[in-house]
Amino acid sequence: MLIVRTKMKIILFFSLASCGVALTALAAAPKIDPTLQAQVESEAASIISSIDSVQTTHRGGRSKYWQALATHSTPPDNGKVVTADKLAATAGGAGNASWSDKGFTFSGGTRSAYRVDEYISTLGPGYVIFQTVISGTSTFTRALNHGPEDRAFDWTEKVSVR
Amino acid sequence: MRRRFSALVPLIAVLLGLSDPSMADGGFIRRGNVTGANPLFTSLVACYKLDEASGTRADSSGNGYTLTDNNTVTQNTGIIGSAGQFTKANSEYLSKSSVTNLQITGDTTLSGWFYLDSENALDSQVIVAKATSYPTTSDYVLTFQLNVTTRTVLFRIYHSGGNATATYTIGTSAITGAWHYVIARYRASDGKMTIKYDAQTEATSTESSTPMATTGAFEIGAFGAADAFMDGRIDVVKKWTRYLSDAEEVLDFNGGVGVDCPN
Repeated sequence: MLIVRTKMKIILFFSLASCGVALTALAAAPKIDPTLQAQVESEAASIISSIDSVQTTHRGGRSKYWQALATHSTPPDNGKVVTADKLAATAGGAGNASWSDKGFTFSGGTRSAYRVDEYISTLGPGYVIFQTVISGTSTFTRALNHGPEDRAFDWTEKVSVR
Repeated sequence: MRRRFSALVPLIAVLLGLSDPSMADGGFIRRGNVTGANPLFTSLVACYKLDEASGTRADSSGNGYTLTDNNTVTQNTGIIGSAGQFTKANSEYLSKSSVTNLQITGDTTLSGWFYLDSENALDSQVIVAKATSYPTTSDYVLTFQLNVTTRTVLFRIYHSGGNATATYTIGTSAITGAWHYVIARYRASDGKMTIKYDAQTEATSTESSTPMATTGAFEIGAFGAADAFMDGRIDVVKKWTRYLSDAEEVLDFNGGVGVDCPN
């Protein structure tokens, strides 16, 4: 009986210890401010819908989707509405169009920055919409995938290699 | 008679197992002959020639870890054949979703060739990485960096809550417009990390913690799809699940001309 109790204590100790490690790891990962998250996700809904519509039209007769560079040179921070200053920028190469070329004005500015990557995989073409915002002093990005690869991820802190 | 014998020499070499014409280098690396399978390719789990003009890029290791093309990586002259041409301003990179062989779960070696079109102060240009975000889904990165005036190549391994880095300092002169080789190793038994640039003396460090093995994507030319894009060319990228010997590092550099992937 004593042995069983001792074993249970040991198991309990290691269970609590492993929970502690997991909680420490979770605590180390910064999270996007929930109010800001709600704001930028609400803002994104109509923009994403517009991008999807543009991509459907763009793809007709082409082998790949439209690529768009980041809308802002610096992502908006902490809910500030910032004018998109890179709408005329285009990815190099023939036939690439800017946000402006595709009819996006983002009038009045946005609370987050947007970028679209196109990809060609063995399963076919697709695109990923990246939405980026600064929360506190950390930069957070989420990826919304439209295509055959599993490329989506929820809000995660993005840091430089440095 | 002498001419006939000369013509028979390659055939005799094959019959005696002294060379293998089916291999990329004909079974010879420089003047060193290799019998049977090239031992340099033992435990080679991914190898990218990057000879394709566009679209997906094939893995020549036999594992089929084909790379997805993101934002139209183009083609240029390589150290061997052609290379991937990456344009930083376009956020171009190649990627493969995570598989165990591309993680660091034991001894590991990574090597590749890069050719910079530009250098940007306070910026990194990644040769190869496996990362999505920090600290939850980053495994490792092999990259060129220009701090303010100092050029380095570094090999960083991420662990829970931090990382360990082996850094080789190249110097203060620009290295654009030429091919450079980098090879990095990790030995699980003692955490030893090394990085070697061209034929220079290697730099070392120690990873005392267990490396992260995450679901982050394997990428050539970017870090987490959002940072440190390469502005230049990358060619012949290899990953092994073993710690290459010092002699094998020299073999893979091959006097500055490289060794191609298996066919």
